[in-house]
Amino acid sequence: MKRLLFIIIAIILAAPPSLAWAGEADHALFYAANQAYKEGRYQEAADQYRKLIAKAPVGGSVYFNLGNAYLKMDQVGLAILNYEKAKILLPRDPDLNFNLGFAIDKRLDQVEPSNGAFLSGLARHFTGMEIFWVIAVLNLLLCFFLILRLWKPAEWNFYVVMAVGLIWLTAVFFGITKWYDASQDHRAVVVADKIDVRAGPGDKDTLLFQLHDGSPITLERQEGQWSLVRFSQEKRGWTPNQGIAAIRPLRQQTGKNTEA
Amino acid sequence: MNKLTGHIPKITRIIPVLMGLLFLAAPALSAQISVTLEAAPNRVQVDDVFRLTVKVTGATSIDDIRIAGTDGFELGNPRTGSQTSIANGTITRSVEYSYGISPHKQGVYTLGPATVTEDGKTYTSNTVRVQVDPVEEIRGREQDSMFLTAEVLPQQAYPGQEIVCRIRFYWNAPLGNIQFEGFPDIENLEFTQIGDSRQFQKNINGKTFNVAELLHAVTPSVTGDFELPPLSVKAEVIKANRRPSRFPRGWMDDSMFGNEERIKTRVLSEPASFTVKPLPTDGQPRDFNGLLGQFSAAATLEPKQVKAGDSATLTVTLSGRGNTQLMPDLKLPPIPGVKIYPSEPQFAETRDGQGLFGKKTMQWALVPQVEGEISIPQFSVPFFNAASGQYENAATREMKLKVLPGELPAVLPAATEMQVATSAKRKVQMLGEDILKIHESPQAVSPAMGQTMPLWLVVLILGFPALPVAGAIVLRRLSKTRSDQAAARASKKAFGAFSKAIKDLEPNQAAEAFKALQEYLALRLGLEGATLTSHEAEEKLLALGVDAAAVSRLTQIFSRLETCVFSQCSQEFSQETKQDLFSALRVIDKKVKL
Repeated sequence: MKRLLFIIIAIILAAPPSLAWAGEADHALFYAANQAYKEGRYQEAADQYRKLIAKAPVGGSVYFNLGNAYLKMDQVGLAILNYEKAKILLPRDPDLNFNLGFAIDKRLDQVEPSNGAFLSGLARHFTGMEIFWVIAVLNLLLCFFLILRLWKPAEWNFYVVMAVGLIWLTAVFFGITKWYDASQDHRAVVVADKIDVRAGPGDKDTLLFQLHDGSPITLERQEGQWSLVRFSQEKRGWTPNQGIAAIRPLRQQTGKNTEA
Repeated sequence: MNKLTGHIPKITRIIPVLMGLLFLAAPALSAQISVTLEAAPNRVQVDDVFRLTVKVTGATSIDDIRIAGTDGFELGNPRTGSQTSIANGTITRSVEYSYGISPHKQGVYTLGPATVTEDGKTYTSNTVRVQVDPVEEIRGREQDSMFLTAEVLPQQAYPGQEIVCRIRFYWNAPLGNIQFEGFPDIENLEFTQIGDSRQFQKNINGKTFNVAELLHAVTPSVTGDFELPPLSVKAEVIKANRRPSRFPRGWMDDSMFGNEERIKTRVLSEPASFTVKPLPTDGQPRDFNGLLGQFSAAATLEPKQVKAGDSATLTVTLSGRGNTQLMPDLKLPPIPGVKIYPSEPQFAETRDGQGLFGKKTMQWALVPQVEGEISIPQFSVPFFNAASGQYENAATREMKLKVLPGELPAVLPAATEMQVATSAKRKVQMLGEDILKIHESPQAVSPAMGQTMPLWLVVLILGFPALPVAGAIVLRRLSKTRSDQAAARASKKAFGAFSKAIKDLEPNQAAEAFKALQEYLALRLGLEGATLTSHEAEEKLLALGVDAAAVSRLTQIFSRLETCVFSQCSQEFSQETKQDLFSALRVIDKKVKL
């Protein structure tokens, strides 16, 4: 048993990419980007934040800073995109929520309110890792009490197992909701000044409506260089890929960073 | 009958009470007199007869009514209707004078104001604008007693533009229950009714028709050619019943006495078509947001001259007709040396005979901090004018704010807020707008613990605690199996031990044989320490699926030994019984598997 425990701990410690911390070079780049931002060289700051993001996994604050740099350059769409990315990692950060609200105020199009699912909304208040660690701790507790009950069956530990089991089940259900929400998150943002949304994937198709920088959309499907997007229940259509950017592209869902 | 007469004294008692109450309430009659003028419809054709209504509210007796601007119109005698309402203890009486009016020449006319005189005092109404179009030819329809027309105006539009569908139902026969059956669902077209239906009279080739007009706003959302299918109106044609009546002709010739017949009918219009063109891309302004219609912007600055530290109010109003919901909230860019306090934009939308009218008002309090002349930039909102087919701008003019030296140094509004807060609570106003600073902590670079953890590690962390649980379950199983196996081995040795104990027993030792048999069966059946009776042994063996004949033989011997032991006999355990017992137990020992 002790040997098995030792092997498992060794495996966890021997997995540097998974629990990696930023190195000195990353910190230097981060400080340089921050300095550029403070001196008003926003484009340079944005380039350095993007370089940092492309290089290694980073915290949500880097996306937040990148969003700030874009907003200072009046690029509302890219700012909202990066704030939304940061929100996935820092869902309850008050600075982020404030700046995101500010950026949303600056966008041109009036967004029709949507009825989001309650559980998805709740799940977005927590990161996937927060929920994962809660489940991991509950898992450990449940197993401990199960073993205890196997060797020393008593009334008190029956109730403890039932209570911990119930909390464990709730957490697992919440975890599944979070995972499902993340896997079905096809939100995107308009990052061009204006995009034409047409009835089909071609320049000759009827122009249905136009969207402006920062408008939120949902990606439904992609065909070549065109995407089928939804702005509201009544407003759907095709638009070229270059004017939009997904908040959670497939690459990021597998744990890697994306450039914006 | 008795019951009815019983009520009469009560009613006679109530009437004076009601009269008294009305008398007491008389002083509460509204003293505010107002006069309004309304034309329905406000777009007609030459010789159409439409309604012009003067509504007088709050007057008790009217001496005279005059309506200006009616020269060139044929004005009929008024129909009068009155209404009394009580709201919040105030009784309001209003009288409506409705005139049939007919124009003889085309043009745009302003009717009114209506002037009402009461007790020597004169009250004046608003004016109304009426457009009189030339007579539209409705060929061949004068022969029909009823017909329906539907037309879309204009017949060329742009996506998002609100156009009008005018439905007119003409009839010159007695009709009742006239009902428009509505629009069918048409993809990419939205219909909104504009006001209530209006009724007027129209002369078509010498025949006078009653006309009911209903207007709908049609908003297309895509480009293309559209056709409205035939629309329909339901009505009941009223015909006098020809059956002989017991009453003289003209007496009681109404529906109550069954002397009229109503025939249901349905009238269809011709289909109406129109085209929706795409918005031109040439000349489209960069900041065009889809605003379509006709809009104008106006700005005022009050006062135009202030001292440093004092405030001036800048008001910008954007108004017009079209898709008004797209009218943007205007932002005032920062002005050096001026603190800007924006207010929430106010938006109002109304619908009248000409369509949707929207007005958005934005206000800023400007507090200049230094003396000099400050330029207020102009505001410009691009829109597409569907009438001219061009992109235009609703723009304000640039304005100047002259700032004089302040008598006191310019006081920061924040400090003022703090002083005021000690005496009275006031809403804290935002003095500026900006985003919060970047995150600079070194930890900001590092991802959260396990943020990019690979799936195998996730499975390992979640699965690891289950391993000791599984191990514990396996260990417990193994331990139980071992003890079961030991018990089984002991059980199997039981026959040997029993044989040995029985072998040398004398016939008078039935009690010992009985005891040995009991111990053997208890061991063999996994009931160590139990003292089984013959009956219990039989039940258990049969339950284990042992051959019934062998069980029966054993039970007989067991029972005999049992009887012998409890009746203290001396000669029961013979050699023959011993052999029988052995042969029965051999069979049982093979069958029992524990």
